[in-house]
Amino acid sequence: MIATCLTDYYHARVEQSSPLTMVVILSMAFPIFAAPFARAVYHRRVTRLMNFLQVRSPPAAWWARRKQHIARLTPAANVVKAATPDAFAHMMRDRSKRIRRATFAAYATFVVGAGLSAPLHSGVALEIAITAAVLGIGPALINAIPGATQRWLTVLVAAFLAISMSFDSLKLDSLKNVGNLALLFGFVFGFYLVGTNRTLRALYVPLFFIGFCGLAAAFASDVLAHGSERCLALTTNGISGSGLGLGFLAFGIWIGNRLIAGLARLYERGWISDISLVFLFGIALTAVLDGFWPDSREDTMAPSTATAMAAACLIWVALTREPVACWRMQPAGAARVFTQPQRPFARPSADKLALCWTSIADRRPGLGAAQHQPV
Amino acid sequence: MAKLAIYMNEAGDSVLHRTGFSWLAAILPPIWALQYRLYKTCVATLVIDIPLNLVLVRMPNLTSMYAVGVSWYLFQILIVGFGTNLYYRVVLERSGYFMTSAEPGRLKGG
Repeated sequence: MIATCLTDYYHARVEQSSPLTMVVILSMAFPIFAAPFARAVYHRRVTRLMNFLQVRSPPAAWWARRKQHIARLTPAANVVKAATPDAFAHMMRDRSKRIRRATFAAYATFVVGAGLSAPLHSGVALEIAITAAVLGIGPALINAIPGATQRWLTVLVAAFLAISMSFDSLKLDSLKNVGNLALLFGFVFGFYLVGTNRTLRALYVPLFFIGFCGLAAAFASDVLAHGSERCLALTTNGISGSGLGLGFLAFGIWIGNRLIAGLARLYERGWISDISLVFLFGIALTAVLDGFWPDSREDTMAPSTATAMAAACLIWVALTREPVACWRMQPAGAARVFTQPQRPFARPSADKLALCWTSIADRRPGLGAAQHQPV
Repeated sequence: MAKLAIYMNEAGDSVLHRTGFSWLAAILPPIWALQYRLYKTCVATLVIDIPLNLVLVRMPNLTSMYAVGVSWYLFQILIVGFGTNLYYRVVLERSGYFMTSAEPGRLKGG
C-alpha cells in the first residue's frame, strides 16, 4: 500500500516536471562549477601525499600484490618503439601529421553535422551553424597545435556566442528573459572553457557521475520524505527532513565514487579506453535526454527536440569515432593534450622528443626501446 | 589541519587514516562508517539515530522537541566529530593494521 502511494506521488512529481531530464541537465552543469575546486583539492592532496615519510616497509604481500597489479595492466597503445633517434623523430612527425588530419576531419564533421541539423531549429538555423563552427575551433586548435591557448580565441568565441544568442532572444519567445539568456550563455561558455582546458576537462566525466548520483539521491529523498508524509501521515520536522536529505545526498555521492572506481578498474584492465569512455558517455547522455525530454509540453524550443537530439547523437558519434576509423589513429592525441606545458619538454614536438631520447641514450647507452615513450 | 597516515596489514591491504575533526562523521555518522567499511558501526549508529528521530518527531511539545534535538545534535557534532578518527585508529590497530608512512607533522606529534 505504501509502495503504491509512493509510486503515485512519484508519478505526480514526474508529471509536474521531467525530473530525470532536469537531473541530467543539472549534472551536466555541475562539473563546470566544481571542476576548478576539484582540481585545487586534488593538487593539495597530491602535494601532501608526496611529502609522506616512510616509517616502516610495506609487507611482502603488498609488494606481491603490486607486482601482480602492474603485470595485469594493459600496456599503453601509444608507446613508440624505434631503433634510432632519427627513426623516432620521423615516427613522431608522422604521428603529428595524422593527429592534424584527424582533428581537421573531426572538426569538419562537427560543422557539417551541425549545419545539417540546423533546419530542425526553425528560425535560428544560421546562428546555430555559425556558433557550432566557432565553438569547434578551440578544441580543434588545442588538439592540432600543442600548447595552443590563445586568449583572442576565447574572446572571439564569447563574442560570437553573445551575438548569436542575442539574435536568438529576439526571435524566440521563450528566451525573452535576459536572465535565461545570461544563464544559457554562462552554461555554453563554461562548457567551452572547461572543455578546452587540459586539466579541467579530465575531471568532467567523474564529476558528472558524482553530480548525477547526488542529485538523483536528493530527488529520491524528496519523493520518500513527502510521500511518507502523505502515505503514513508522518509530519517530519525540519531537522529530520534535512537530515534525511543530507543522508541521501551523501549516499548518492558515495555511489558516484564507487561508479568512478569501477570505471577506473575497467580502464586499468583495458576494457575501455579514454576514447570509448567519452563515446559511451556521449551516447548515454544523448539517449537519456532524447528519451525523457518533455516534448509533449507546449514549448517553442522543442517542436522537434527528439529529432534534433538524434542528430546531435549522430554528430557526437562521428566526432568521436570517425578519426579513429579513418586513420586507425592510436590515442596519441591524449598524450599530447595532457602534457605539462610549464615543464621542460613541455611541447613534445618531434625534435624535442628526439633530443630527450638522445640525452638519455648518451648518458646510459644500455637503455633500450623502453625509453621511447612520449613525455 | 588533519594529518594523514597510511596503514597496512600483513595481507597487503592499505587504508588512509586522518587525525582531527571529521565533518561527515559529525553530521552523518552512518555514512562516515559506510565510507570506511565499518558496517557494524554503521548499523549501530542507525539503531541509535532512527528511534531517536522517531521519538523527536512524535514529541507533543515543539519547544522540548527542538531543545532535545539541538542538544543531541550538538553532542553528536562535538563527541562524534572529534572522536571518530581516534576510534577508527583503534579499530585499525586492533585489526592488525600498522602505520607504514605518514606526514611529517604527524610523526612529530607521536
